[in-house]
Amino acid sequence: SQLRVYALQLMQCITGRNLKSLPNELVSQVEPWELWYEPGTGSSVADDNNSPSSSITGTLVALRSTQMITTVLPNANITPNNLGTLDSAVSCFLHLSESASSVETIAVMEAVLEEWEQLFSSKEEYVPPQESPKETNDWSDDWDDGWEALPEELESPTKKHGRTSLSVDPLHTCWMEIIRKLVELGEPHKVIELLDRASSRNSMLIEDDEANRLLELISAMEPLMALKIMLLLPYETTRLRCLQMVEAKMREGTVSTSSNADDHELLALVLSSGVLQRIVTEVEYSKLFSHICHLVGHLARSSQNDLLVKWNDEANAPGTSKTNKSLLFARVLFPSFISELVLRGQYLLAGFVISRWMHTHPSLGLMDVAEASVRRYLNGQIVQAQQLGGTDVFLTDNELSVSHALSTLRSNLVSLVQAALATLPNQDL
Amino acid sequence: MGSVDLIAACLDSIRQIGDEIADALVYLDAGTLEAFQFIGAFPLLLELGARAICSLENASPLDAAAEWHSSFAHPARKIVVITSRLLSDAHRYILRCLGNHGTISHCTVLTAISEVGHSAYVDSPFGPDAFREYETLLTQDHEELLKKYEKSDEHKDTTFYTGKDFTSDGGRYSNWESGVHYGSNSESSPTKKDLFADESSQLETKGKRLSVTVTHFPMIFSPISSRTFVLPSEGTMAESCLSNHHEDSLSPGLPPISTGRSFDGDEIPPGVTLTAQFLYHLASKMDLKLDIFSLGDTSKVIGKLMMDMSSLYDVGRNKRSAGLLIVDRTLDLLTPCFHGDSFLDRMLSSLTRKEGTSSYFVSKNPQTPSKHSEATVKRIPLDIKVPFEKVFSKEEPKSRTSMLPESIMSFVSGWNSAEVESEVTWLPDYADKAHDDKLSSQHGSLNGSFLSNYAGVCYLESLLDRGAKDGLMLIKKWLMEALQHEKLSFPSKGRQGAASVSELHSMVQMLSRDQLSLVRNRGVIQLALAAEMALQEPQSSRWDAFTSAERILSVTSAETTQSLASELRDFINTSTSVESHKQANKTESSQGLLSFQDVLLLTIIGYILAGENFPTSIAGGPFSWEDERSLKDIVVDSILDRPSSVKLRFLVGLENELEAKARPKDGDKSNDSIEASKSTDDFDDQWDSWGDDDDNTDDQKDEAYGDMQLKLEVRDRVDQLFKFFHNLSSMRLRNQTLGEGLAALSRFETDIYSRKGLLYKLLLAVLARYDIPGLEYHSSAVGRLFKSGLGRFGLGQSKPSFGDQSILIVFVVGGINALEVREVMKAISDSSRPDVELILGGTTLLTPDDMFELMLGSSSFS
Repeated sequence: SQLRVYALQLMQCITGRNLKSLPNELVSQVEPWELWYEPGTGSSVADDNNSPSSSITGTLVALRSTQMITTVLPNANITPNNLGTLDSAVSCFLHLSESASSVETIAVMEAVLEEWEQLFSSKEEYVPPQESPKETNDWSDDWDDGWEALPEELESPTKKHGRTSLSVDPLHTCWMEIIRKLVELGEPHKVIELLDRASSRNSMLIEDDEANRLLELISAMEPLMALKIMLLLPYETTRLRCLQMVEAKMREGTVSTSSNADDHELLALVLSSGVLQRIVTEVEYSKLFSHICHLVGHLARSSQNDLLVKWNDEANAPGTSKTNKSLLFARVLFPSFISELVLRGQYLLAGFVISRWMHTHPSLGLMDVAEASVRRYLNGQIVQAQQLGGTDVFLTDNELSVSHALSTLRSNLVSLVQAALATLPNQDL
Repeated sequence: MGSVDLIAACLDSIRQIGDEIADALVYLDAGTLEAFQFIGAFPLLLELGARAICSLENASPLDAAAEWHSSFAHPARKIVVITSRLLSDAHRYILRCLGNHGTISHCTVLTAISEVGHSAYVDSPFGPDAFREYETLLTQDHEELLKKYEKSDEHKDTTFYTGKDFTSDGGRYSNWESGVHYGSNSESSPTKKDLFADESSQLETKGKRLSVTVTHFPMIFSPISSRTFVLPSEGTMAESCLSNHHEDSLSPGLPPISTGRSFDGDEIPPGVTLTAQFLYHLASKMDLKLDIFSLGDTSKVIGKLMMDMSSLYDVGRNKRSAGLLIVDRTLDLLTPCFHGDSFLDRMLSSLTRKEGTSSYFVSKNPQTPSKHSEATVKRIPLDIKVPFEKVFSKEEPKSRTSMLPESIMSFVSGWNSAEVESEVTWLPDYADKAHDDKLSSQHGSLNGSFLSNYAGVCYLESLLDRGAKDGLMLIKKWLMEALQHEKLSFPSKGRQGAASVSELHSMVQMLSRDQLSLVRNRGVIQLALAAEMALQEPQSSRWDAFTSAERILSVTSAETTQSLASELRDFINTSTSVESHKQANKTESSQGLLSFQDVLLLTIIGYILAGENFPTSIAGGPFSWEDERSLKDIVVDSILDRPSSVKLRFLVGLENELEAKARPKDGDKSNDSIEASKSTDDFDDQWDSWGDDDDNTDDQKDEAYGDMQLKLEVRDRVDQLFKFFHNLSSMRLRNQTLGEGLAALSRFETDIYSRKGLLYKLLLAVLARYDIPGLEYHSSAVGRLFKSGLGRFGLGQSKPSFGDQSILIVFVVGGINALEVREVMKAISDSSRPDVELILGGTTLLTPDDMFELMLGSSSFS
């Protein structure tokens, strides 16, 4: 089996249509066979379109999938015929998932599904050129672009610059099954990780209908956890339904908050998804907004405590995960929150929060200090963001599951703060 | 040179210490905060780069975690303490600041009290070199704490910062020594890796030595406008007593009656010394050379002290010349007691004022009590907050501004959740509590400082010159302009010139719907809110009742003493019968809004008026023996009838007995028995007829004896009170020259029905170059030298006149009143020299209620 996989990988390199999973040493040592490329272009495409199962790519993916899945499901087998069509692939996956009953198994199935994604997403690229002879030329250009971009893909496989628009994953039915399994197993955090990774690829794992079914599935769980999951999906109507559900449960007093004391993730998702704008401005979500304010207050105090302990730490060791969380809050989450408040007209609330954060003399009235505090703070954030152009360690090493959401917030912070500053009145008042 | 602007001068003084403030934790004590509120210094401190602006009395280790840039690259290294108190009083707070922040390497202390002021103060432990002495003391105490920490190195695994330590509750630091924590600072441990290599050369054996700098910062006072100022209420200068307790003194916060006798050196009260220091350094900072005049005994001492401080060096410089006139408040007690037509005075009297910080008094060392510390003046802070909660009413539930209190409280609950050790239950319902005024006021966050001047806004200056009607129209005009600026339209119904409170309220509501608009127009909005509070019931009726009563007393004082005494009796009777009337019918009338305490203030006014108009004898007072006896009887009866409402200093010690006496009476009333209407004798007869129960008879006799004793005690206290009244009425008789001078000023009284205060008449007189008996000129050292030198040649030198200067400073020792400010501005415009620049200052800003507290209430002699 090992030898067979190796031989197939070698043949794949020769054809020049490399897959992500090919070992680097093979790619670097084997040169594509140009003769294979030139005369076989038309026939290869025809063969792929007519019967993908007969292609080397399909065979290789099927073999690797079987190799992975048998580590947790010994009797499973994935054949090239299973991957012949989208329907057969989905059917095969659903059949396999019936035997999945542990987190480890589901993790392997996620990896299998990611392997399959290459196969079925690349299929879409070949459909348009068949329409007309003119498209054939465009297809050739695309092919050349793909060829030249190959080294970039190898250098940073996690970043794909090919497409920027969001699209539903063809295998969304399979992803939905994985998510449902994770929910049933009581592992909602892994759903969050999954969805966050997908958003970094500009990919939507499930459809709108599936999102609605997912909401019904998880609404029996913690409402705030459900909210976090929904905020990672771009479906507006489902988000609204979830917001209303959370608000209603908060008003009933049935929401438990003990496990949300250090919920950086909820704050990050509320900020990055843009839902804070609605919560701030609409009175219908006042309970949820109160909870967000409470959360910000708690995190603010905790992060200052952590930073103070760090300064007085004898070892003065490099930042721990706890310190990185505090820096993350202080440098990204808190400035984003303040800027959103200012943009939504919550000027006095922003002034009050900043006054507490800056330990301004408690006898100074809020009306007297709000304007100067907000302006000073926002200006300070711009200065800080421009100075720290390098890598932010605290963004990656903080044990949080929403790294892409955090990266989005970080990259948008300067423009957000500048927009908030633009709403302030002229200083000549 | 430009014209004099006190606010600009104060801000410039802060700019001059910009290097110290940059990147420093700035700690302000309560008095400094009040002063900085007045000048709107907060944005300037931020502009100068202050890392945080915190409370000295409530310092927290978390203060160091504040940073405007959110870089958190390095811990705080500098702190700047600005205090309006003596260094010895502020020391424990400064030490706690240093203890909270183990990373501090430089500490700058700026104090409003000069070095000479420190050494001259009786309680101060420092000598002539006070600032250097304090630097040494602070460094040593800091190192002592450091050593104490190093001894506990075996506990280094312990976390020094628990949530409990970060509470900002000042009360937790009653045992402040144990509250001081030192973090494990690598700078303090040379054996550990030194991460700050550039400073390694400065390290010493036991760690880096703290660098302390102490500097005098005289510009800590509270400008109400660019030319009117008072001293901070919680600063040492205003809190030091202006009078020792003797027969001629009226209050620790007021100068004594001027008798012409000079003070002995040991008897100069500390407030007098500090006032002289302050005025001297204020003139120096303003680059003014003073010609000093004084009116009154205490003012004369201040003038003399200021002359002793001057030197030949002052004369040589090219300074601008100014006249300084120091006046005793005691020469005119009527003006601050009157409820005159000053809109600002009216608003000040209506707004709620918080209690001052009392921890300083507790900090006095009980082992060495001194008479001066016992007589410290307790002044209500002038940091008056206008509550904005009215703006966030529930009437507009859809407005996002109405959700603000709820959001703020949610944040605060999260901020404080670290202190709660048990698991936090779900958030309480803030929606209802957020609109509870009592709960909101406990937060004290949704407010603005009333007496505050911030950039470009000079509302207070304009209002100082207005009465109630004009002031209301002016505020309406400002609101209309603000609405136009915000592009909001307001239907102007009724007459164009009229202004009503409900109209102002509607305009405020419109301006407050958007939080940005609210912040932008906060100055005029809070003026409108303050005006609304001043003109609503029952404040409005109470003020009108006072005005009416005072007018009656003024008119009657032109008649006979019998008429005046009769009016006073009627006022006291009215306050008595109104309470009975209230209990019976629960109705209110305009005249009935004056309480017993209010009537006591009217009695003070009556006695002063009598003293001015009927100067007969000193010993017996202005009224006949019969009139005064009847007045005393009514006062005694009033005290005995309504003890629960009596909280007066001269009744200290009798509160329990008065309360106990009230209880059986209330019981009788609740029983509603027919026996209550009978006399005591009848009751005794009925009691005797029940048989020969000797024990009950004895109890009854004991109770009767107790009541009689209480009444005798109350009468004795009332006799003391009336001796105080005699003092008030005898002021012009104690100093004949001064009395004649004050009487001569009555020529400037334009109308007998609209009396003017002393300052008004005084300024008109000096600007018209009238010679005023009792007004004393204090020549400078050079002046004395020239006079003695030239005297040998027989050359005469004309006496300088206060009115000749183009800049005039009038400082009233004891305080000024808003009505007085208005009158003074009118005097300048009425005089032949409207171009004169006049600066008016005083120890504090006095309202009629403040005068009551100073003479009979919490701030009086016990």
